[in-house]
Parts: sequence; C-alpha cells; structure tokens
Amino acid sequence: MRQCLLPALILILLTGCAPSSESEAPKDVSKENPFEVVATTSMIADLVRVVGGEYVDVEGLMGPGVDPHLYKASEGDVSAMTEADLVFYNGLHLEGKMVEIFEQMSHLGREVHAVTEGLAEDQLLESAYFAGNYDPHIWFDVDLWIRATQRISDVLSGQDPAHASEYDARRIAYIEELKALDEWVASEVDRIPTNMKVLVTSHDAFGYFGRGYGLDVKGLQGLSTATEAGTADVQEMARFVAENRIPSMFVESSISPRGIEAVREAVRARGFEVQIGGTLYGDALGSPGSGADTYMGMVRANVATIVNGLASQSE
Amino acid sequence: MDSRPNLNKRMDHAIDVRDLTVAYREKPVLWDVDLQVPAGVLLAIVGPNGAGKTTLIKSILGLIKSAAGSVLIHGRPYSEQRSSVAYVPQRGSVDWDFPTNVLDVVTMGLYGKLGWIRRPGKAERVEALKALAQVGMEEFADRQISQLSGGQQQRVFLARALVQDARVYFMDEPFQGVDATTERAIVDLLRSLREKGRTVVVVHHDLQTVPEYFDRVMLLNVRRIASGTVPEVFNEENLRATYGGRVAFVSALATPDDH
Amino acid sequence: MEWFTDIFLDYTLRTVALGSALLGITAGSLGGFALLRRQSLLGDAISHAALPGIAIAFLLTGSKAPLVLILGAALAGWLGAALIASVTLRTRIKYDSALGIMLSVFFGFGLVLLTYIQKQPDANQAGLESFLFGQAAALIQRDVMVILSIGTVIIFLMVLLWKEFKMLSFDPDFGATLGFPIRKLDHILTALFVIAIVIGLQTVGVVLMSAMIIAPAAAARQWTDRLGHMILAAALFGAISGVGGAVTSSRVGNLPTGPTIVLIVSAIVVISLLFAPNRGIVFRKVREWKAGKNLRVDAVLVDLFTLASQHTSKEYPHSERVLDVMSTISGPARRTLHLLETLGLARQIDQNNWSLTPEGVERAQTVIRNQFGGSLST
Repeated sequence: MRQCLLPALILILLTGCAPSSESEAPKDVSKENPFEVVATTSMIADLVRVVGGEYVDVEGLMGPGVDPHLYKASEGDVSAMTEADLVFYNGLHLEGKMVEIFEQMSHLGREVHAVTEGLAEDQLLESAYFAGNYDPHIWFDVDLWIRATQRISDVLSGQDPAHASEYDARRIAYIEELKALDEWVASEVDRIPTNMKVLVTSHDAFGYFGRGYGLDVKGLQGLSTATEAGTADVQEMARFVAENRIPSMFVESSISPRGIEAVREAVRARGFEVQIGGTLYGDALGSPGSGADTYMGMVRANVATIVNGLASQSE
Repeated sequence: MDSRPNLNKRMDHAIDVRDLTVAYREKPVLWDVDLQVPAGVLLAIVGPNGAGKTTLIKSILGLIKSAAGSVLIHGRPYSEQRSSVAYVPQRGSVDWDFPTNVLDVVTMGLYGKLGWIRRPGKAERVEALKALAQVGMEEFADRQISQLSGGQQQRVFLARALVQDARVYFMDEPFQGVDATTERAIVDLLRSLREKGRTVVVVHHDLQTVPEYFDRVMLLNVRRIASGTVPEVFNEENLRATYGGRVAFVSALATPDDH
Repeated sequence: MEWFTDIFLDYTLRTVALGSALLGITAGSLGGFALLRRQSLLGDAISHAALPGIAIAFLLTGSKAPLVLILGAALAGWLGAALIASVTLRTRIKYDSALGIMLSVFFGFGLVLLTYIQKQPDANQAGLESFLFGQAAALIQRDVMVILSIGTVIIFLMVLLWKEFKMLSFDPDFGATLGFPIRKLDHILTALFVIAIVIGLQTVGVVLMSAMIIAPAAAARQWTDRLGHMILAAALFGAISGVGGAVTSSRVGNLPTGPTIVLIVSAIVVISLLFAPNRGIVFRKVREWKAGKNLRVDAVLVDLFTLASQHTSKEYPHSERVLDVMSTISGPARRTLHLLETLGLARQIDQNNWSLTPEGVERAQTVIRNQFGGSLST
C-alpha cells in the first residue's frame, strides 16, 4: 500500500500541472491523432488494440512475465497514465499495489476505467477465504471477457462518437472470434479423460477457466501471489497429486517455478512421477514472437499445453 | 632535555622512537616525537587530555598508522619483536560483560605463543595461574569478569601481560580508578619487573605520584616537551610548558626534594 | 504424535525442517559473535545489500539459477559490509549511521533495478522478487544439500578459528599486538557472515533474515556466561525455531513457513528475557523481592523487640497500628507479621495485637547484634 503513496503524490502534482482542457473537450480522434491509451496488463492492452484499431495507440505497463499482483508503478508509469487520454485496468484488485493510484486519478477526473466495471457479483467467483473479494482473473472466462470487450467499446464510443460504428463493428467481429475460440477450447478440453481433468498451477489464476470448461483447478499460492505458500500447502498439494495420480502440473510465466518444483519432489518421494507439463500464461501474455503475445494466441497456447500435459498420458 | 643519543648507544635502548608523527584528518596528534628509554626503568608519560599519550602507545604498537617515524625495540623494529612486548590497554577499552572468566582472559596473553588454531592446554593453564598468583588473583580464576571490581579488572589485565614474560611493557593508565590496595600491588609489581631488568612505560594520569613511582618521565603535548630522569626533568618550567596555565597545582607538585 | 514422525517420513516436512534447522544453526552461531561485537544489525544490512546483487546477477547472465543469484547476493552483501567498515573508519560517520545508510542505499538501488527489470520484455524474470521474501516451503533436497555443505564449512571454520574469533570479539587491539592479523580475521568472519545470510535468503528472505542472526544469540546470552555454551545455545535455539516453524506451518494451512520460524524464535527471546535464571527479568524481580522481604522480616522483628523492651516481658504484645507507624519500610506490617507467625517467631494475641515468641526474641537479639554490634540491652 505504501508503495502507492509516493506515485500518488507525484500524480497529484503532475495533474496539477497538466492543462485541464484535455479532460473536458472531446478529442478529435483520427488515424493521425489516435487516443493515447495506457493499459495495465498485456491482455487488456491487446483487447484495446483489437477494439480500437488504428484509433488507439496503446502503451502496456506490464510486459510479458510481469506479475500484476506485485507490480509497483514507477514515476514514469504514473506520468504516462496522467498524460494519457484513457487508462484501462483490470480491477477487482488484480493490480494490488496500484489501487490507490487509480482512485486518486479518478478523483481528479481522469478517464480511468476498469474493464471489470459493471460485472454482476453472481458472475464472479468469490474468494474462499475473504468474503467480498473476487477472483480477478476474469479473462479466462469468455463470457466475462466478452463483457470487457463491450466495456472498452462503450468507453471508446463515448469518448469518440464519430467512430462509434467502427468500434462496434470491430467489437462484434471479435466477439464472434471469441465465441469460436470458446467452442474450440471446450472441444479440446473434452479430449482429457474425465478423471484427469485437474489443473494444478502455481497460483489460483485459472478459476474461471476451470469453471468454464469443467476442470478442477488447484493453485499452490492463493488468488494473489503476495501470499507465501506454507509447508502445509505444499504437503497438501503433493498428497492430492500423488493420490489422484495427476499426470502433469503447470508452472506460470510470471511466477517462480520453485514452488511447483518442490511439490514435484514431494510427489516423487511418495512414489509417483508427475511431470511439469509446461509453462502457462496466467497473469501475462507471452513475449513478442512467442505466438502467445495476443489473447487468442495465449489461450491457444495454454490449452495446447494443458491438453498435452493431461490427455496424452496413458495412465 | 635528553642528550643527543650516540649512534653506538642505539643498541642499548630498550625503546627507541624517532620522529614519530601521527596525523588525524590533517591535524597532527603527535608531532615529531623522539623517545629513548634504556632497559630496566619505569617511565611515566604525562600530559593533558588530548596530548596524544594513548596515541603514542598505540602508534608504537602499530595499532594506529603513523605518518612518519620509526620504532625500535631492543635494536630491532617492533614488528620483529612482538613477543618481547606486552600491552596493557585501558580498562575501558573492552566490554567486561563478555561471557568469559578471569583465567580465560589471562590465557589470551599466551595466544601469541600458541599461534594459529592451537588451543590452550594444561601447560598454558599452569602459566596463567602463575601470572594470576603474581597479582594476587588466583582465587578468582573461575570468576566471571563482569563480577570484578575495577581494581580486580586491572589486575587481570596485568596478569595477561605478565604471562607473556615480555622484556618491554606498555601500560595505558593502569592506576586509573583502582583502590589503594591494588595501586600498591601494581607499584610493587612494576618494581619487581624493574629488578628483573624489564622496561615499563606507563601512561600515567596522576602527577602527584610520578616522583614516587617512576624513574623517568616524558612530558608530552603533541610534541615532546621533555623527557629524562624525574629529578632532571620533572620541574615547574617543564610542567608549565606541558599543561599551559594552571599554576597552582603545578607549583605544588614540582617541589624538587620531596621524593 | 503423527506430526513428530512426519518430520522424518514426509518428504516436504523433512526437507523444510532440515533446511530451516541448518540455517538456524549457522545463523545462530555466527549471530553470537555478531552480538558480542555489537554488530547485530550488520546481518540486516547485509541482507538488504544483497538485493542489487541479485538483480545485477540476473541482468548480466539472464539466469535465475540459485547459484548465480546467490553469488550475486554474496558479492553485493560483502561489498555493503566492506563499505560500512570503510566509511566508519575513514569518516566522521558512526557505525550505526553507516549501517543505516548502506542498507537504504543498496536496497533502494536494488528496488530500482527490479523495477527496470520489470520493464524488460523478458518473460524469464519471474520470481526474482520472491528471492526477497524467501519461500521456505519450496525447499527441495538439493537446496538442503547446498545449505548443509556450506553450513558445515562455516561451522568448521568457526571452530577452527575459535580462539582467534574470541580474541577479535573481546580485545582486538591486544590481539593485534600479539601478531594476529586482526583486519584479516575481521574480513574472514564477515565473509562467513555474508555466506550464511545469503544461503538463508532463500528460506526466510531479506526482511526476516536479520531476525535469524540476532534472536537466537540474544536469547542464548541470557542463559549462560560461557562463550562456548552461548554459541551452542544460539545454534540450538536456531535449530528449534527452524524445525518448529516447519512443523507448525505444516499443521496449519496457509501459514507461511519463514515468518512462522521468526515468530517462534521471537517467542524464545521473550521467554529468555523473562525467565532465564540470573539475567531473566522475572528472576531478578523475585530476587529483589526476596531480599526486600528479608529486610522487612528483620525490621518488624526488631520493632517488636524494641517496643517490648519498654515493658517487663520481651513478649509484651503490641498492636499492628503501632508497628505500621514504627516501620520505616513501606507496606503494612500485617503481611510480615503473618510471615513471622509461620516462621514461629511471632504470635497473634487477638484481632490487632501481636507479640514475639521466645524464638522470636532470640532471633531479634541476633539480628540486633549483627546490625548494631550489641548496642541494645539484651
């Protein structure tokens, strides 16, 4: 929390200096003069680019392999957000250490939008330990991600009514793609034998994914990577994996693999060999050129890794 | 002032310090100090606070870097003569709450002879007890040093030096804050060392007792003001030059025949 | 007793407990010397100074291999310690200020580097920050082997150079005059320190590591006045905390192991501060109270005797009120009178009045003789 205080203070100073006319007059957007957008996670950056097309110039704060739960905004980030036309973030405390910054910015009248705004509570997964806190990894639920697309489109259209029809068109086309992706994922996941439909990962990022496609999901650390796994958690997971003879566990691109590796050793000591099926993209997209640097690519890569790890074991 | 030392006589001096200069942040703390001490004497070093008395001892022993000067002990550089030199630091320079007992501290004086890694054994224990007997502290061998009085602490430090059986002893204010019995015991000890031809240099804080306890005295205030035998050198003029104003006690001390 | 056998049977618990215990032993023993040299917080400074080393090691090699990061951490920690010593020696700045400065500067620099790394489009950086906080539960056998071998070397060197380190800690100037290279010994001890800390970072992390250095030694000091025993006790307390932390966090879900270890060692410190014989606060208070009680007993006894001496019989009774007034010691006389009664030295005549028994009379006379050399008539 305290890490947000200094950036927040700088923020106030900077916005004090920025010409206030920016937030009042609607911007005359064109291909030569696109929206300056700052997005927090790479998934959101990707989504904004898809919906906004040539009318947005998106800067993503968190690159591949960066953990959004622990990310601390630098002064450069704050000034980028202040100077931007629009800021999109996930919300639901995913960007755990930036909450105060967003609040400050919206108090100052900046265009700061959570893509999860407006999502009904009953659509969300509630945390098992902290009532009133929700699982923020919504991008793995296609329905919720469609709503996020909607939200971004609404904001863009609101700010730039002139091109509203183009945003709509892109949104509609993308939603079709998302739905097709959804069907593909479902059919792929069905290739996994029922008793193998268990997804063991570094932290609870795949709750929505599991709910959507019928997988039992177990994370070593909780919803946020700020919590440290205890000995009991490692033991418990090892016991679970060994007893149920889960063929593969998965590490994540933005989290140290040590935890899962420790679980594997413990499972081995119980006489069972579990594989580390591969790296999943949980909280961030992959590096440029990896094929997983777009949302579509990431989901396909994840599903391929998961299905490979769980289905092709003949146990 | 001492007569210019004859080069042939250099070999005879137990301690031969020349041109010793120590600077601390550009400021001279000791300036061009000479000191020649023959064997078998008790020498006091006196001077006001900040005169550099402790610095002199420490730089002779190589504990403080000197900007210039040389130190010979019995004709050889100090670094070659360590086993012939024993040091009794000020009592306040250690933490007496350290978890150790009297015998252990005295045994530390033998660590030099033991060299690296070797542990003290029975022979060392016997020697340490002998040194403790010399200062009248054998019964305190197992006592925690935190339970000692000031005088007892001083005796332990002395025993630690005695156990080294050195030829030259440097002591920093050994009479400071000790009871009368201990003070007498220390003086007796120093005299017995002198009998054996050992040389003892003592930073001394009490001008009153200089004529009674010591053969020679060095008056120091950053520079050497004077050094030589007590009758020669311990007079009002030199004391005044060393201590500045403070007339009253100076003249009271420098009565020439009382000793 | 399943939890006990589990320490040996369950892979995770066994590994975590062993690794943490070894860390506790190593850090605890070295911490003993740090404590005696008034350098307890040096452990904190070195832990924090290690951070930029980890970041730079990653930036230079692109690898997160534990050995690489540990090496970077060790070099940075060593540099930090050396700078603290140098600054203290060469400038006016005192040791504690130098320590604070280095700690902040190095750690701040490390955070800046981490933020810079965050910005790199390199997906391999995951987990650098967790080096900061440690993940004891993620210890695997290979890690424990590393800790064991390094820890053994450290302990071996400590034992080998025992008298040298004792000299260094007690009276370094004297040691120098004996010919021991005190500066070199200081460097060696500091190096052992740095190594112990750096291997412990994986277990409890930067923030908590300093506790593992300070706490077992502080607790151990309370129980013994012999250096050897103190170091052994510190090692023991460190081991107990390590095992205790592992076991506790394995019984209770969602309890991070590192912080649990530190909580246990802190509890040991509190218990030691309160209950250690001789130095413990509780014992000291009891001793003071007992001494006070003896004083009160003697005082009331003598008062009764003195009052009775005005009359024909030494056992002449007097009221509590009179005794209260006479007494120079605070507190009502009633309590002490009851005590005298149980000791058989006084007897209650009625509601308010007390007198001495024959034994009481004798005892009073003895006390007076001791105190005043027999000035009162017997």
